[in-house]
Amino acid sequence: MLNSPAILTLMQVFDFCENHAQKKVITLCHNVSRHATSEEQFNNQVLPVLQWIFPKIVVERYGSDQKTSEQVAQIVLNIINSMNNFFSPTKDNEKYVLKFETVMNTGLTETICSCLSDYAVTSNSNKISHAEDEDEPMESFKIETGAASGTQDLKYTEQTISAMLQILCQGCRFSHLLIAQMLHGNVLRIITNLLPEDSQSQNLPAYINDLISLLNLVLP
Amino acid sequence: MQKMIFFAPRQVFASSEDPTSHFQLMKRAIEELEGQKRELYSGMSTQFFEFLASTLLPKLFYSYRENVGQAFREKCISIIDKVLAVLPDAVAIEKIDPVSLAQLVNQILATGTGQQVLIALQIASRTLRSNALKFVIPFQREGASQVIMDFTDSERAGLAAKFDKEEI
Repeated sequence: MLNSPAILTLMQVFDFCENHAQKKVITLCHNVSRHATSEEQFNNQVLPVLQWIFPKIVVERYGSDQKTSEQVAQIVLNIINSMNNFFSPTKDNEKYVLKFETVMNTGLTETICSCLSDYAVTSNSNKISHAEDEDEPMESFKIETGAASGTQDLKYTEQTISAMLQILCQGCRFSHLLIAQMLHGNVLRIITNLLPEDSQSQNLPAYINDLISLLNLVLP
Repeated sequence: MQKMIFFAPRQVFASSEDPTSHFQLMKRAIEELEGQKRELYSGMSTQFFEFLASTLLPKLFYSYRENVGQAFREKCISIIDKVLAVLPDAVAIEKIDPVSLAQLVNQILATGTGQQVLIALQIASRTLRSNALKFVIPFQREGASQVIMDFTDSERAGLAAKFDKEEI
């Protein structure tokens, strides 16, 4: 499947397909995403898929919805993990790091960071409005709609955020350039915003383990 | 019918002490990365460290209290210890809440596993060394100092019993 021109053709006609067909194409990419077995195959067959698909992680861009975004995040993670099929960080660490940095510098890091930032802002404003609602018990008799209660729908699911954090974890495990980018680009602040606060007294989110792993990797 | 059996050449792995072994290469790469990280942190601004002390640490304390998974808690304490290690003394004195830190150390000493207790003791010694005046009283009030004293007493008693047995 990887070596056939099918994926290339599907990528070209993707924009002309209806939503249902587009979702099928994404599923197809999901199935082939983790099967690169050599560097040549990765460069020629998989990397174009990655470059084509990762902008679709942003909801409302190219018609992506929450579910598509979750699937795309998983595809990107699979593709990055597939590098372990033919590169070994223990055998040739420098080459592995270089390849990883090349992949991340295609704009993937910036896209992920903007998504995380977007999520952090929306979820924090929702928590604040939720806390305000709890402070005013009489107000809860009102008929609540999304707009009336001041809450917004979250664009990304916790699973999407979890996959994004795992992608960053993979990078921070080996590349100091990515860590520098995170420290100087305010990404650490965004990540900290995703952690729950005492005053909000909410359940821990599903991505908490990945978040903690990422923080552990970023600190010396 | 005669069966042909082929033996593949035996794979020889380099020993872990060999400088060209995968283990040593990986170890060197990790050490190099840790050095680069330390360099990065040494160039960060005071505002960044204040952010770590006043925003990240309280959130980590809360996350530790809320999750009961041991692996998660171990990672949490490890991050707290790392944050305290990179903080300059002036920021640590000004921005860390000593009461919540003492409560956390006390909680770890009371309920944590061996590794967690070890990191908690490291945290306690690190903070007490940076500014004893500010941290000693909260540590005593929250009972952390007493728990540490009990640890040392029981350790001494254990050692004494061991010596007695050996003498007998």
